[in-house]
Amino acid sequence: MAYGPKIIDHYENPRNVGSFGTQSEIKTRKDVGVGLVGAPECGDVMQLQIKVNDSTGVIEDARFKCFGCGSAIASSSLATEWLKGKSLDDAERIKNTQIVEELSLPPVKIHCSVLAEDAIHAAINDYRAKNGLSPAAPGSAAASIAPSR
Amino acid sequence: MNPAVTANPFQTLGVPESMDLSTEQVESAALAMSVRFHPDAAGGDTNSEAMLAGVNHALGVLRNPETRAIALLELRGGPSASQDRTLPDGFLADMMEARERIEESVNADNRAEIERWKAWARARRAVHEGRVAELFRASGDAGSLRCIRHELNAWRYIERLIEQLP
Repeated sequence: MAYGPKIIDHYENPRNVGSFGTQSEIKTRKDVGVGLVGAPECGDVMQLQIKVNDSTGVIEDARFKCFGCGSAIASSSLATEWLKGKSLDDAERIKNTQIVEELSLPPVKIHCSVLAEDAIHAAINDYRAKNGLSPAAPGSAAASIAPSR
Repeated sequence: MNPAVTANPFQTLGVPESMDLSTEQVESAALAMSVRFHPDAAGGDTNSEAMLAGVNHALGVLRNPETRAIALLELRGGPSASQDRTLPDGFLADMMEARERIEESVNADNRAEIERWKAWARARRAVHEGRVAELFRASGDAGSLRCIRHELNAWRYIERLIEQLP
């Protein structure tokens, strides 16, 4: 498969790889939201972490770990770049189609960008749940995604 | 309609609609059917080629326990992989940890450790296969059909992991 230059760049130099602590630490850290998603048909697993400033509600930093194909790694790497500096509400509006466009993902790899979008929503929901915040308001991007995702 | 052209692979081979079939049972049923539909035996039946193709397809589906389970779940009206992508609780966290440790073993070129992970993955597959078989034997309510789908999703995941291990 022919990969575009941006996918290759993110694959070879992934941004913000890592974690804000051990698995048990990030589970209890209230300023960190964790999204863990997977795709059985590819065997991919993707973890996305956001570190949120609790007074401003802005994502100050992001980390990811992804075991999967080049497109899944590139999608999650790009997501961490986009998340930094965004408010939770703005982060929630990131659409997988924007990732597809930015990376020029081929049609067979669109599900990788969906996985990244799912991970973003899961991380935001985790942060909100940990801090007793209500989930997204009706009509927002996160409220309209399929419940099984 | 002739059994060999139905979409139900169990009917096609004339075996019980069950997970609890041995490979030998499936293969001997397929052999008996293919003898029956062999062009030489079918007395010039123009459908015999399509029948044989149907038997071969059913054999392929039922010989493999995973595709057999998928076929059975579909017959029982359970959710497909695209309808329900849920994985069992805690599964992804286990996979993340396993993948991290596997990556360490691969980077260190620790063959013994990689072999241990392969054995681990095969044991894990057996667990999901066992749970699927058990759930099919139990009640066929919507809840258990959903659980079967979740176990099948995990099973697929493990199969991919096994394929990807060096």
